[in-house]
Amino acid sequence: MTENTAPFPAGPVGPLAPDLPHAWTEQLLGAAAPASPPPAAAWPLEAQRFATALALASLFGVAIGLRLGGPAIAMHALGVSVGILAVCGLAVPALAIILALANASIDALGLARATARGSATAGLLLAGLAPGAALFAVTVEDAISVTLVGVGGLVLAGILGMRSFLRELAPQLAVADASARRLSQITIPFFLVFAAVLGARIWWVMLPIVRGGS
Amino acid sequence: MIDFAFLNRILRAPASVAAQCRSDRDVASMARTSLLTLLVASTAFGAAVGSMHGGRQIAFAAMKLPIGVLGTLALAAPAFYVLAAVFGRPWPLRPVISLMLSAGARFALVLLALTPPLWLTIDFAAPYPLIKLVATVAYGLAGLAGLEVLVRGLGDGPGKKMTIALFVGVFLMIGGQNAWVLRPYLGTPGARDVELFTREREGGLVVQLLQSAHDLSRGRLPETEEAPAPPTVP
Repeated sequence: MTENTAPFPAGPVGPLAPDLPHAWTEQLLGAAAPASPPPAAAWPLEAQRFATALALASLFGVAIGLRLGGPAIAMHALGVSVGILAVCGLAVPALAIILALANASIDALGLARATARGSATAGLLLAGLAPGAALFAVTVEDAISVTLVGVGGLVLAGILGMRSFLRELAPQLAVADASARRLSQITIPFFLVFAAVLGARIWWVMLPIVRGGS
Repeated sequence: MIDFAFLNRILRAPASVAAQCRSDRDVASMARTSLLTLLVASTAFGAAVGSMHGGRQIAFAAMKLPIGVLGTLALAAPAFYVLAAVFGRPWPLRPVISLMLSAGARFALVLLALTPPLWLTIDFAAPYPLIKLVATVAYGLAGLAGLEVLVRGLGDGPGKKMTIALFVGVFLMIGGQNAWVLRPYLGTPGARDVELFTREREGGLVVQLLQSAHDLSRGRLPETEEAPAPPTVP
């Protein structure tokens, strides 16, 4: 066996090179090493993260809106973002009140951080799926395909956004006393159902493509 | 121009190439070689597929297949990037794109290796469904070979299986629709006219898949596009 044909080592793959710059997605998802900025600095950071998430999510709206063209593109871009905004603005405060009633140890900043990171996950995912969705929107002959692709993308983003939200919230809920933890465990599933129904309703109303319009 | 050492490595040691992608070193040469390999291999495969009908169909299929393959890669790359990020690998864009291109190069090489058997199948005047099956299996095998680079590139850790599963789903959807838009490749057996793109309205990929699933669930075989008997080679 010559040097050229000698087998190459196929050992385990090492981690990402440490000298590489941090990816912007790492900052956006809050996956970088926690620096714990003071609350005064943390609020604008989370607000910026949330705004970026909405902007990214709107790209998916643009993609599926291409099916109808014209003002529908802007309408869908707005509609996708409004769905996320509605869940964060209506469902999360409701959860905060119930958790406060249960005396769970969650502060406003912690909740905002979880909300922003959950939204960032959903927004980033939607932005990544947008090119593929645009392909379907402009090339398929039947409306049902675009509806399925649109709904599929929104559902996936919703699920992963919620997953991120709950993962961020879990350590805070874990330090509460036993009764607060029990109440949280009952409240969270109700919140998830409520958030899913609310998001679905907003998207149903605001996105003609989701209703099967072509 | 073409880094043959890289092509050797991508076949023999995908883990080593994946590690190089992740370290973001010398990726420009890898990207160039991967793109060229993809272009050459998919052109050759397309020409072989088009040889079933012969004539202009060879040129059409040879032209359309690289567009389909490279277009799918371009449209699916953002999905891979964000899925990796969401499932715990928020890496810079360049290593992710390098990884995808390397996977594409491995896919292309396997596709190139399977081109002669496909051509031979066509040359032996195999029936149309068999040719379709051989082409699909060749494409699937090449896809699996490419997927190994992505699997190794993601490394160990949580979220890997989910990233791969979701990405494969997205990739198949995008690739399927891209291929659907650019059809026909083989050409309809017995048809005299050769067309660059079909003008028939047959719904989309999703509709066809749903229709096939519906037919199968009712115990009917899905209808295929060929009506006349395939041509025989004298």
